[in-house]
Amino acid sequence: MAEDDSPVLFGFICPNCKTDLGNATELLKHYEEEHSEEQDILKSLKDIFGKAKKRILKQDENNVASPGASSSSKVQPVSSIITSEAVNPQTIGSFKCHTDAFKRIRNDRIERFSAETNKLIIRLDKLLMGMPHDPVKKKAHEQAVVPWLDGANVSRCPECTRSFHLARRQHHCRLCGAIMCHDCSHFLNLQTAKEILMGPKEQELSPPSEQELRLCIHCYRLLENRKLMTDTRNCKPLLAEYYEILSEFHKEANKLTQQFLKMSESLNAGETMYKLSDAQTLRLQIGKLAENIDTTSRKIESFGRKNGANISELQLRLQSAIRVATKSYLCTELLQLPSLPTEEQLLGLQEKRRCEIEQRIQEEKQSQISQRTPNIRTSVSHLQTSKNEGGATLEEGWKPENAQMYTSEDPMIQQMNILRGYIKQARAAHMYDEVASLEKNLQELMEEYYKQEYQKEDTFVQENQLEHAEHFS
Amino acid sequence: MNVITAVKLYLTKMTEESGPGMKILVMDKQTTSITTMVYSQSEMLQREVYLFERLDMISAREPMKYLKCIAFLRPTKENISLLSKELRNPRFGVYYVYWSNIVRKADIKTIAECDEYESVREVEEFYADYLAIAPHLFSLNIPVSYQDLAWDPVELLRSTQGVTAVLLSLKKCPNIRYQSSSEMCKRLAEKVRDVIVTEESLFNFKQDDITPVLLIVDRRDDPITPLLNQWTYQAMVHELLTITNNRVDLSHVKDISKDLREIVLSPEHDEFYAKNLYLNYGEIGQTMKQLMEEFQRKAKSQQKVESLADMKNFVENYPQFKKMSGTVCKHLVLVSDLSNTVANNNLLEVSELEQQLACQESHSSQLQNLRTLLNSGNVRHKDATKLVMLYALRYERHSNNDIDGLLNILKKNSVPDSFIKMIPRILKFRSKNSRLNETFDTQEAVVKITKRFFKDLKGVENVYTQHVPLLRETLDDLIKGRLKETTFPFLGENSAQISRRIKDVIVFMIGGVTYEEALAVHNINCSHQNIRIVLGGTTIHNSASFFTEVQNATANLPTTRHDNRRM
Ligand SMILES: [Zn+2]
Ligand SMILES: [Zn+2]
Ligand SMILES: [Zn+2]
Repeated sequence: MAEDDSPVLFGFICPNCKTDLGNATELLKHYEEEHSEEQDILKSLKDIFGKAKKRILKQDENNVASPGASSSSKVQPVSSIITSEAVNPQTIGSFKCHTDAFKRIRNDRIERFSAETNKLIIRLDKLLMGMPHDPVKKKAHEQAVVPWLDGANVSRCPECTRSFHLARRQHHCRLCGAIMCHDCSHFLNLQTAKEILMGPKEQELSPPSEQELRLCIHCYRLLENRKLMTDTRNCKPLLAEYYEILSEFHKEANKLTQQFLKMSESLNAGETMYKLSDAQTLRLQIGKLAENIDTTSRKIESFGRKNGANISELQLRLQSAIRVATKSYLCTELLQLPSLPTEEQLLGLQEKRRCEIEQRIQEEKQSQISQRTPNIRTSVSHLQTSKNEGGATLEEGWKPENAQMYTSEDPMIQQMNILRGYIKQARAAHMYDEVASLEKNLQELMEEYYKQEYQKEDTFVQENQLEHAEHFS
Repeated sequence: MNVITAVKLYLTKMTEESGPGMKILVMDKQTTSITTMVYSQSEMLQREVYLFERLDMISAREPMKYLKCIAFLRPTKENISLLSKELRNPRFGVYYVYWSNIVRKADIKTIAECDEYESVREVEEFYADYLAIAPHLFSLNIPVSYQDLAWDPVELLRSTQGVTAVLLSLKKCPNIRYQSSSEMCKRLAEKVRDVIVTEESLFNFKQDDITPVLLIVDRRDDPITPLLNQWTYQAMVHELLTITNNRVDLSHVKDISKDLREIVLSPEHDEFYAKNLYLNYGEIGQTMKQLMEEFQRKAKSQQKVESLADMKNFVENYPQFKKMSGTVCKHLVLVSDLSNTVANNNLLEVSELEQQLACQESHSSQLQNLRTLLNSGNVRHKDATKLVMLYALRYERHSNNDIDGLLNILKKNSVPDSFIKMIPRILKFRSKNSRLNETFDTQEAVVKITKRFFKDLKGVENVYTQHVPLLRETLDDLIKGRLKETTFPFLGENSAQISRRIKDVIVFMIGGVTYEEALAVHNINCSHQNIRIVLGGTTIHNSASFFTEVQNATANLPTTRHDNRRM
């Protein structure tokens, strides 16, 4: 048919007589009528049409008419394409940073701005220092700090350009001495002025002052900006405080969960590195944390909802969002920890593992037999280094305290007692990896100790013992 | 070469740079769409982004200084002035500002001078300036690109920005090829090249030895594809229900539950959808059934919650359980709505004739079938219009064509005038020297069709999916190094020295792409280990949005009914 290399014509062409039949049905009919003797070709043609038709008209159980194309079953889902990116993960696209340029421009401007503000602050400080109560003396004091502009030649207010007269008198800004009318004056409460100078916490108890300072708009704005900036720097609303607590819980929970996953995996594999009781304690601890997280987030959600406090709609949305995020965190991270084996199951698992290991050892024994010398020396030096690391490398939050005095004279017994103390402290701080490695050390130390006790009776190995003792001095 | 990953990486970095603490994400209309395409709200919540706000629709003025503000904005004039206003009186403690494209130095200065409270910590350009729809598909959400069949200047700028952002986010500095028959392709190609030249330092990537290709094509060369009914899941949903920014409106469905009135169809967050979006209608029904069975099996096992162990099991499985039941409901509603639409509107019959018109050469019988179907009255006005449009595109130059007769049938069936006008409009819209004309005029091209049809009969394709979009052929030619330089020249290069080897290709179609074309590109990517193609368009069309595009493109051109009787 069309696959032949003979010149191909267009349309629905009969493969025998090359007539164009226009469409598939016509072609079939023509074929049946004109070339019925060539049955096999007809059969194959019919087959092809039949298959296509079946596929097209096939109804599946859901009564969905199916114009299925078999080609699409070859279509792979988007996710399954294996690309070179699977090997070399795509990195972030290019980006351009304007921060430095931005800050340069901003600083140029801010410098002028803050120099001016600082000048005003110094003057304000001088004004408030020893401000007399007597109005006449007060005026003199004010003018001594900031000389007032001579108003003789000023006929209009520079702010609003209205002319001065009897009913609209000249006034002076107490911080820059500029002239303005009463309507263009701004007033700074002395109490507020003190807050700007000293910060809000200093005079919590003093009542708001009746006295005010008359300022021009420019000076007023500069001071107001300064106040806003310090206010926001100092004030920390309840919501923010609670959120910080929540974040701390989160951090702690993440840490413990990771630890727990490691332990449960190890226990479920039948390893003896961790103790089941430790894992159980940890699980309880995580449960408690989850409760704390839950309570804190509820608290955050409820701020200002009960007594109709003046809280913006945006903040309410924020509070709800924090709650929603926490809930899904609790569901997906904290409440879905894998389960721990029971004591019995654990014994079974450990037994199974032991058998597996023994079997492996048996298999390897033949080849390893020659190298079987117990390397006491390395085991001891290993113990020492890990002891030294004990204090230095433990993660934040926990350090062994050398609180107890050990009475035994034997350095080895001392060492073992110290280790026991460390283990206790590490367990209390949920540092179970440390517990495991310390316990391993303790185990080795004890084995070594009993070996030595045994050897003490053997006079031929004195030298060896001395050598070991050196390590503990 | 994954645009979803590219956008995600940018957004992830935005949420990380501001460190721990409560955050608000402030966006504009477009960056909101860009963000929601790749990140769900719950994913954002886990990154401590609790609030989302539009810069142009600020809800409250009271300060919330304990919030960190991430501003992700397009560098428009409006945004510059809105952000300046915000910074002069800042509501939030600190600001991290990310522009989705290249921003002018003067604008940086304007904003810096407004930041008297020194609340801005970072100002950066992150080129996530397009909607990533699938790993290999992006859109710019431009509903109409043409103005009297030439560029709308606003959209030329937006397209230039979109295409350069794709290049920058994927770190590609390409050779540019464009469709020579389209003036618009040439303009866009030049604009993109101008950006590459002026922002030389940005485009200075370490690239591997095969230079990527940016191929710019024009929808006007293939007006047929957007007119055809589609039978793969995603394309069907878009054609019959319309997907807007991964969302589908189902409010028309009778007795629909509240949370299904608008559903999200995101391959990033819906595993079922991701697996099945390219399956055809029949297969999707089958998959649906399997999913239901699995769901029922789970649901049943969880009904007998008797022992404590059962309870625990239930709780431990709960999130997946809930997620799964949501997925099942959503797709069940969707598929049954699709099948209603198909059955009620005779779409199988319509589709069969559409495919014949698009792929086969048989004027008299097709005209006959068309008349019969139109006269039967079982066809929606829109489908009737599309069929006549296809006929007109196909047989405009055929000496015996009966476009007038068909228009009369449409009128007799009281098809609205706006629809009837689409027939002369589409003929105006189709590019005059498009390959479409060649396809139907030259014998060689028809041979191609015949060959394909017979191949199809061997079980590869069926009557509803015979059509292969022109883009597929263009890309096949490109890959084989056979794409002619007369039809697709290189921009400004001495083409003799350019290697014909192909690895990374970015295709951009002015006037919008379709999901059928997205599938074609996906198939190419699957079958070529070493070739990665990313497809993008001014928008993703279905036939309804394509009608709007054509209508606007030809709005001011004379469209008397007798235009098409030229010969
Ligand atoms: Zn005044
Ligand atoms: Zn002043
Ligand atoms: Zn005044």
